[in-house]
Amino acid sequence: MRILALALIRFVRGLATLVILLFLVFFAIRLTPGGPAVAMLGQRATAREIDRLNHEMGWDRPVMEQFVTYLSNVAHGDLGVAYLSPGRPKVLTELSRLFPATVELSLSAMLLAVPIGIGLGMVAAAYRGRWPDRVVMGIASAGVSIPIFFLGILLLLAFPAMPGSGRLDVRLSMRSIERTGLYLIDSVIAGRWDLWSSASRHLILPAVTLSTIPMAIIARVTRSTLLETLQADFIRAARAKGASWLRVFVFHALPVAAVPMVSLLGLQLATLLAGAVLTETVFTWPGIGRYVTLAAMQKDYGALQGAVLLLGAVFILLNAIIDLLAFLLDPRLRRSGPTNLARGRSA
Amino acid sequence: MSRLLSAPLWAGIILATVSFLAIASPVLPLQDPYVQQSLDRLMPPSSAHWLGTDDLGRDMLSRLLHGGRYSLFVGMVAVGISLGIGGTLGICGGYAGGWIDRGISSITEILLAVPGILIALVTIAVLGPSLFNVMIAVGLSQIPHYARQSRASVLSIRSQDFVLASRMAGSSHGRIMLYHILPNVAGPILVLATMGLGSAILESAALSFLGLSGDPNRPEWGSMLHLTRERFQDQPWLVLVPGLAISGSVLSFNILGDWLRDRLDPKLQSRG
Repeated sequence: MRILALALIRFVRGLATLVILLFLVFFAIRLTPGGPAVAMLGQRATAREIDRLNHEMGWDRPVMEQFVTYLSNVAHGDLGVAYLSPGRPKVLTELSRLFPATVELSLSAMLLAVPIGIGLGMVAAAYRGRWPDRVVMGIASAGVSIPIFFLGILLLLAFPAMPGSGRLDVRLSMRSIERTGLYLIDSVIAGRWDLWSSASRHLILPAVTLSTIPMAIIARVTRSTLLETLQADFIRAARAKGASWLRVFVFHALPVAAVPMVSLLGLQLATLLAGAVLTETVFTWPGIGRYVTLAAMQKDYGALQGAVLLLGAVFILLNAIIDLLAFLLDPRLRRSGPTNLARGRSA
Repeated sequence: MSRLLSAPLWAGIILATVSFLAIASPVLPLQDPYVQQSLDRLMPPSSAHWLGTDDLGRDMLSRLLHGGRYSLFVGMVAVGISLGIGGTLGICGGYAGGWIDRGISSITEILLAVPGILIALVTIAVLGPSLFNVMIAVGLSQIPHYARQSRASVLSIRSQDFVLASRMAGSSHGRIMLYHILPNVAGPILVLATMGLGSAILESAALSFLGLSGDPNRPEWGSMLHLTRERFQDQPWLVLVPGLAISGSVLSFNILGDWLRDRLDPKLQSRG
């Protein structure tokens, strides 16, 4: 039951955070000189034009009233329109078209980063102070220091045969078989291996680029947590009992070290999102990251609000899930009850 | 061990060189980083142009060194903003306790629950694209980390005897915070700032790379990559020069930060 209570607390807190975040964005946008109307009409617009637009869009109402209206629209599944894009498309349609691309990219990056990062960290911990440790830690330091956009360009330079933009070859289309929007999965379901190979060729370089920073951080933390755990008394006890070193490493040290690593995953989500924005720009990947950048650059506030809402919600939700996971993994947290955990991340 | 000791040394040497060249760039015998020589467009590195020229015939070496001034300065101002605001909030909240602390902590937690890049992008969208606003955006997005770190440090010392003694001797709260709390929390915050400098440079370069820092012709490392990234296949030096400059500086700051942390707090040694 505790886990349910905790889940409920986290959910309410997440929702509150999201509403506050949205309000801050909403409020800040309306504080800009001239507000959204000037962004839309340009600096040369006359006062009358601006007034007319403000009235038409409801931007002359009190901010709180606009905010409540926006929230109730959101609750009804209406995120408004991207009013600077040609044809004023609905933000929700745009987001649902672009979101799967970002999900596919981020998931592939994490599928690379987690096993490789943990593996590298384990190697480094097992060979502490010797050359494999130094090599891994050197790579990890470089991995967090090289700008991700520069790394993407370097990879393109190193593999000139690989496609550098988009999700598919231009002459191919997924339209007829699209279901989830994740091209690798859709093409497998439809049995279109030509599409699958094109999609995966386009995915590899962006995914590798995006995976580097989480991979480096996961490797470092795995190493340090393992080293700390390996010095604990229960490890010595297991060794004294006669368990082999490998057995101790895998069955005794790893489960204990898993707890901080799961919490770490939550912290990596922000890195992943920032990385996705840059990776999508370098590889012209049609996802949310590029969308939110363009919205910020063009001051398309309708689009910006929608994207912040979606990304914020996903981010907060995933963080809550990871907290619950850490709770399930760590018997100490389970015993101490949900209330003090609910006040903040355990990391 | 000698190997480990030499890494921070090298990082220091690199940073000293980069800073010196950046500061001295206006008086060094360099070409003007803005002057376009249409005859010398896209020249590979040569004796006349050590690092080649870009698509407008501007000398890359000169742009690199002048760019260092912008990139390092932007990072420092951004860290200054987050350190100033975040540190003050954290110290005040941690010292005052009660509802002030709860209020500040909730704000910090909300900000921590939002990815920094979103804060930065919204800031740019509201304030408009310019290098100055990039500094503000990066600075704002880092505030919660500084607030949290300084609050945690303050909590660990605020009820120690020397603080109580000073209070009993009649010191005001302001005096205690300034003369007793601040010097004792400065260490961990300084480590955070050193490592934060690396990530601030990285983040501002990223925003410039996205084209959010206004004038793209300014010789700032991120903007240089923004301008030249389409040419990486034919003129690779145009992307390698600024890219390596960013990577080298950030790596050096990270190594120095790690070293400082190990020096100042042996408990935290080699934690990720």
